Amino acid sequence: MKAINQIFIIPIKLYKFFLSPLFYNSCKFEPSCSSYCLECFEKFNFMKAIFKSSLRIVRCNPWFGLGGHDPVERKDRV
Amino acid sequence: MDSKNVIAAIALSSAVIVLYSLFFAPEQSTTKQNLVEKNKIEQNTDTPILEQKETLVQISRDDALKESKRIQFENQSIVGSISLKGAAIDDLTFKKYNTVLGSKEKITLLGPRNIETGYLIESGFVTSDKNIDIPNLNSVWSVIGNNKLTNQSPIKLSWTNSQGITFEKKISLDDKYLFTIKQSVINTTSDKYDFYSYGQIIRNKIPEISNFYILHEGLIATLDDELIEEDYDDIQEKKFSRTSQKGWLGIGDKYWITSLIPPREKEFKTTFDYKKKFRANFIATEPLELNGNSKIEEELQIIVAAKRVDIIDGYAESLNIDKFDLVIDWGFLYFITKPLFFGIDYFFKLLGNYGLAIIAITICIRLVFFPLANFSFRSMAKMKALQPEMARLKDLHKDDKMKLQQEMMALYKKEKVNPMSGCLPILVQIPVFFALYKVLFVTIEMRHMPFYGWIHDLSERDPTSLFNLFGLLPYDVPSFLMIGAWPIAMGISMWVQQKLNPAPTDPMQAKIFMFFPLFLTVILAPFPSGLVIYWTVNNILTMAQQLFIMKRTTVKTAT
Repeated sequence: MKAINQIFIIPIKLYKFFLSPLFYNSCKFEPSCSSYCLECFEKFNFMKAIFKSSLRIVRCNPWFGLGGHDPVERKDRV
Repeated sequence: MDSKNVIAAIALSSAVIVLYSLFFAPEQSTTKQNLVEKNKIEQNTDTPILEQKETLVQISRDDALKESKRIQFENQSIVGSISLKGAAIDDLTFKKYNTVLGSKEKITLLGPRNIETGYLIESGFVTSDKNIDIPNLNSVWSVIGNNKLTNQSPIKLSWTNSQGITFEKKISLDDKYLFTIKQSVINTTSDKYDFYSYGQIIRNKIPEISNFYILHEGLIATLDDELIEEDYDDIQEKKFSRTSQKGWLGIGDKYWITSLIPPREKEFKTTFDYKKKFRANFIATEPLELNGNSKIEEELQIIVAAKRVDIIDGYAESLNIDKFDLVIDWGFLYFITKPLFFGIDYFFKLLGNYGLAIIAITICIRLVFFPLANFSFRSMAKMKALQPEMARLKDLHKDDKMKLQQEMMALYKKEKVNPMSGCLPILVQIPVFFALYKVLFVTIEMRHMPFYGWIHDLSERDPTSLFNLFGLLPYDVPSFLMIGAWPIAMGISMWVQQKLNPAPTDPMQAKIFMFFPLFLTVILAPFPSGLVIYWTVNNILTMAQQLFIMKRTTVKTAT
């Protein structure tokens, strides 16, 4: 059904395994941006996943916000 | 920051595929050539279809050049000849570019049509009127007046058919790579004819190509502002054809371009196809009407050039050729690659060595990004300081992930830091480093440029090898064992830089991570040494920056 989402899911998985160790702990959120995006693409339709992922990456900067726990779906929030 | 390196390496390693399709010597049989093919069903039954019969017999270049009468041309940049049979530019050598460093042999791009590496440009008029003769590839033109083409003296070729219609070509050459052809048809009869102007580049064989996904080599055009890049194998499978109002077309190698610029302000149809030979051509969609006892004239330009940025941009501007600067494969990051190139060029003029210019630009980029990196490295250093406490927490709550997460959050809150600077700063740097990589890969300016020591050509691989102790042992090693000193320096610098960061927690990942520098060293060994030098310098700078920030942070924490 969400075949098009694979366009992002596969590269993200590859990134998570091979590349992310190079940027050790740069993400200020939990789950990390890559996990977050992966989850989005697995759960939502393409447009929504793109939208949520982009927002997350933009939020993940050193100037605004404290970061921390930020799950894809609110009900998980502690 | 090294992401660009890694992404590129992975992509490149998977992209290295040998493309040489089975390309036999030109057939000994007679082949039908649709010189300018109009799709009959499509439209415009008026536009002509021209078929020419051509016999292909493979002979040597020298014999081929002797076969027909020729007119020589020469200026400061190029030397060659135009065949009077067919009036094609089919012999061209770049005077300023040697085939290999140190050799006196120059790069010869064009060759006569009946040799294996035939590559030529022809132009003229075609008509759909079957009753008149038009010059074809076997027509022998005569020279009128001056019989050598230079940048001071143009030449004039002429051919008259049996009906009394004369075709003329006035060819002039500038001091670089531009041919201007003013072609005309003079009608001394009282009949009326329609003529369509065309230009065509023919290439018999796929040249030696580097075949990296990062660089396009093949048939290229910009038509109505859109860049068209077709690989040789794409065209072998499927022809390309489009009608447009403006643009140019040609065949591009890594360093050289052969291009046609159709008459301005006139609609034309561009076709790329393959019928035993690659052909890139255009034909006007509207005919020029030739009345009785009158003359028609049209001008087109041919540029056969080394893809130097100043020269290509110069032509784009002075001749007002739409998007001609895209002859050089700047890629979709054009707005970053081009400024970077000018940066390197500036430092090259300042420092006089291309390798130093690469190092200088790398330092500049790092300085620009320093505020961003400063933040992320500072947090990394703080992270390291918190490491023992975090390890303790991890140990304490290793079965309860949720609890661990909360404890971590509490720790960050207590320390009033979020130790991470975020993913965005890293993401914004990637395009810049990728662009620099691209610039170093594609520009001819680095070709045959020396660095210090054993690097005599920054665009070629490091010629030394670990396996004969960098030349101390008296034997040569096969190319897959040619792992030069610079790639090794790159590997070491990367390894040391990695050591500054904590290893990944997953043991499998940690192992892969450990092998990364080794892996990259092997992958990068055959790459242009200019790139490897850039990479090494970049690693060292990353390291220096990280050490600097770590030190500063420790001092702060201590006080």
